[in-house]
Amino acid sequence: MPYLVIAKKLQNNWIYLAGAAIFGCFSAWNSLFYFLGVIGISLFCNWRVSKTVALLTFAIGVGFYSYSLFRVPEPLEDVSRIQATMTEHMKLDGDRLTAFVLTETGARAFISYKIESEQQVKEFAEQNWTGRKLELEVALPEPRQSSHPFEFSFKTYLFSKGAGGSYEVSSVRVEGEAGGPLWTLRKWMSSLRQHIHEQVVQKVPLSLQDEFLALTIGDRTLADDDSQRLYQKLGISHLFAISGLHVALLTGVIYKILLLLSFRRLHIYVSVLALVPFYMFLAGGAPSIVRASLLIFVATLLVIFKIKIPPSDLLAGVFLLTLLYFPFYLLQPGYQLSFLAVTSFVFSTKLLRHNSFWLSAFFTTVVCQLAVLPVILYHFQQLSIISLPLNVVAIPLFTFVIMPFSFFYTGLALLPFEQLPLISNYGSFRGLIQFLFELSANLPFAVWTPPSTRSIFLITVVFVCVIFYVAEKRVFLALALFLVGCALWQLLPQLNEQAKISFLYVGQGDSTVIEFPYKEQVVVIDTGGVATFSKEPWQKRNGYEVGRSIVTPYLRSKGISTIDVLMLTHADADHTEGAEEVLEEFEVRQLIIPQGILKLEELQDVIEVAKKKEIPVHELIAPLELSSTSMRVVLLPVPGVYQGNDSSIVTVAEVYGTKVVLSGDLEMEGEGKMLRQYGGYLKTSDVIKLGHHGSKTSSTEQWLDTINPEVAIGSAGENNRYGHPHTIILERLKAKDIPYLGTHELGTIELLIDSSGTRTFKTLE
Amino acid sequence: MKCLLCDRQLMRDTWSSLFTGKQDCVCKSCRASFNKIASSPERRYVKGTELEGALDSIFCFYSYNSSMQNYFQRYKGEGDHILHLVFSKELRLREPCVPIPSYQDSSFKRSFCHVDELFCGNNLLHLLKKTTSIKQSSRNLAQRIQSSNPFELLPGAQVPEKIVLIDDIFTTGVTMNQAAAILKKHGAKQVHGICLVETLEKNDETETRKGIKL
Repeated sequence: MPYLVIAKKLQNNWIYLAGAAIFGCFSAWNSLFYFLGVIGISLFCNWRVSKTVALLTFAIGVGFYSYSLFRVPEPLEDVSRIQATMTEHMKLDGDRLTAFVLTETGARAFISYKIESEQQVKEFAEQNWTGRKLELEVALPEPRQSSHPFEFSFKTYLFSKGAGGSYEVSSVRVEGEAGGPLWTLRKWMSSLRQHIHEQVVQKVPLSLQDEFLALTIGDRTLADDDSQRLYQKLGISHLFAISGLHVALLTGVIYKILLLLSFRRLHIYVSVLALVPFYMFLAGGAPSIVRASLLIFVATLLVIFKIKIPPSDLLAGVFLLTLLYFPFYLLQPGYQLSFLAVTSFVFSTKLLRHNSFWLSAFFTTVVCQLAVLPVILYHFQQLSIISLPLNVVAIPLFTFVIMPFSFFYTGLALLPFEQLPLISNYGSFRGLIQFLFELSANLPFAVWTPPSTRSIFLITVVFVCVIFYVAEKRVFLALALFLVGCALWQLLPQLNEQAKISFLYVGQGDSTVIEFPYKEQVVVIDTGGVATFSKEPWQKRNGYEVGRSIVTPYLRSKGISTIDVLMLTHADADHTEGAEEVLEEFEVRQLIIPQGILKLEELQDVIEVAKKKEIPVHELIAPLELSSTSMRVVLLPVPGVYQGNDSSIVTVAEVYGTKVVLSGDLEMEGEGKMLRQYGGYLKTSDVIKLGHHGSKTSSTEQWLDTINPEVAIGSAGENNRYGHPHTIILERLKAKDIPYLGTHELGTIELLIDSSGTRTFKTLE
Repeated sequence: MKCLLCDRQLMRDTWSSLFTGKQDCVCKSCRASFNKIASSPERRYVKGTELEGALDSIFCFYSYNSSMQNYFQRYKGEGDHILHLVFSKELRLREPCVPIPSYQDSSFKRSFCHVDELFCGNNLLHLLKKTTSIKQSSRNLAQRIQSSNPFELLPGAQVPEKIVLIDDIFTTGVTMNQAAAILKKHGAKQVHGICLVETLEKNDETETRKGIKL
């Protein structure tokens, strides 16, 4: 039979098919350039493996190319009313509801709805909305100018969930319930999840709720940002995602229990076959759970039918199956990490075989961390170093202590017990562990932020592959190679003589990053932000944080982990709201603010974080000079009492004969004061960042004439309600023949200055 | 694919097998059962005889053990030709090499020439011919040493100055030395020997203690 022959030829070679499928998908979504990967793999197979395999890899590559092209979601239609069915992916944050819905045509859409009343918030929180047919009044949101490639991209996020776009919903009306067995199952599952959630919230102490729900049913709605950041910094956040280890352990325990109860093995296998998909649905169907459950399901089937398949084939087969089901998994970090980690285990048998338990545990974490390194760097731009030793302890701790306790207590919570036995004791034990985690997160060198850009992603992949290859025979040579590679990578930007001033696009707001030549210092001026208005408690939400989604990823992508000076020009929210996140995530040496704003209410959050992290806060009274061998940055305070915009600190950066003036939110009056005090110094600069986002109350004729810039830069939000930059200003610039570059049109603008004095403006598209 | 020696399912489970595409034809436990030594054994049996100093150096990859015995039983004894692949990766030499010939009839019986196949990836120079059908393994040490040289040069063979002599098993060194002596007689200046396996059989040891004083 020919297909048997092919199956035989394919044995041990499925992994190459999986590789070809990956490249096939990416060539459909990103660029045809990726198809070279398919060709490469099939040429390789032709050369080293066999012709049949080569042909098949090519066929799979082409197949997945066309399949994933076919699966690309249609962009949403611009209509005002749609009929849709709610899926189980629904999230409530204050008065904002976000969810994925299925439209009548079966397309997935993301909706965002600002709930009007407290009553309705309760309705959404307490009822089971899965499978409800809704009539929605909708509008397409206005497209947002992207800031830089490293920001959190909503578009990519939607695509990775297979959604064609998002709608802003203005009203929701329930039409009925969706029928059919599948919807009944989905409804039942989500009400079960809801039931577990409620029971846990009722009976378990607050500090343990999130962990119990996350570990048992993959429910992360209670996760708080602080602890999530802590786990990410420690590199153990993967332990809170239900993983393969998790499902394997659960099935293992069930297997052993049923065996003790003297069930027949075959019956046990069959019950595993029934239980695994059930748990997969219950746990919410995150990619790592799907991967693990499918793997165990297929493996059990193979055991029942006594078919032996090499693990790499099994893995690649399951991979291809999941891709067929939902190709967009490939874009989700959880899926990428999950498969990479397991693949690295399958191919590292030679590395993992050690006599000593600790040595093999250590190598296991090293192998796993190395394998996921490219993906981690790509998505998070930083690598947790502390995670290497920590995981050796944390993985067994989670697997054999924390996870069983979570299952145990969650199970008890479902039974009619009023009080869970000894839970307060367990809570204090868990608190101690948490305390130790926090201690280790504060160790120096806990996190490494390599100066990476996305093109380096490919180099990392190759680099990691080389290390694995070398490590088969010479482990220590491989480790040495790795350390040398990291050191080189770290040192390279410190040899760069360019100075860089980046004007970040933070919507309506300001944020500028100054990197000195040779990375001698980093100065951040303002951090962007969104003005918030006081709200009722039920409306409070975590919301969109400019600092976390735009500023911190940008800084990290430049390999910045320490900021020498963070300066806030004045206290307005569009300049300071993101400061909190920057202070939290980076090591800031000092915080500089204008005189007299320390006690202002707007700034209290920021000051509090600075206090907590023991960062010195200075009020600027007199000009301050920050200088290195080749660059000088001078901060100029406006004399007099604090008056809001007109007291903005002005920054002058001088490097290689170029003078850049950043004028904060300075308006007419402040400009006048500045000119009187420092006019001589400000004269004949080369680049200016217009005051107050280019409003008509700033950038007076006199100001522009004195500074006499060659280029003007404006930082304003796209279609902002203030009409910045004002046409009067643009015309004024035109009359003076000064070209204008606006972040609202170009996104983030980088100004690079060479030692020869050459200025280059760069956008980051 | 299955392991050539134990028939177990082979798995692609190393990074090198992933990146090179090639797989070992023998499973890991079979591979580990061979005893790799990489030695240059010294044999003093030929001391004092006319063969002394014929061979300039000798290098062996493995020492003889029960799995090697099984291997040779199947490869040489039963004539399982495919087994020549088991060591062929290691037995790649840079220089052209001269295989120790077997008697024509026994090669014919086996249908292949075992030394030539074992070193199949190399540039082989056939210079020698074996004239007797008597196997070394059927003789004891004294007989081996006293036996007349069973090799002669093939007619018309050009003998280079430096020669690498190859064989499967190195026991007393008599065979290697005899071949080397013939080659040296015909103009070779240096003869180096390379063997897959080095063995020291028990009965040889006792023989030597009883018979010849070393």
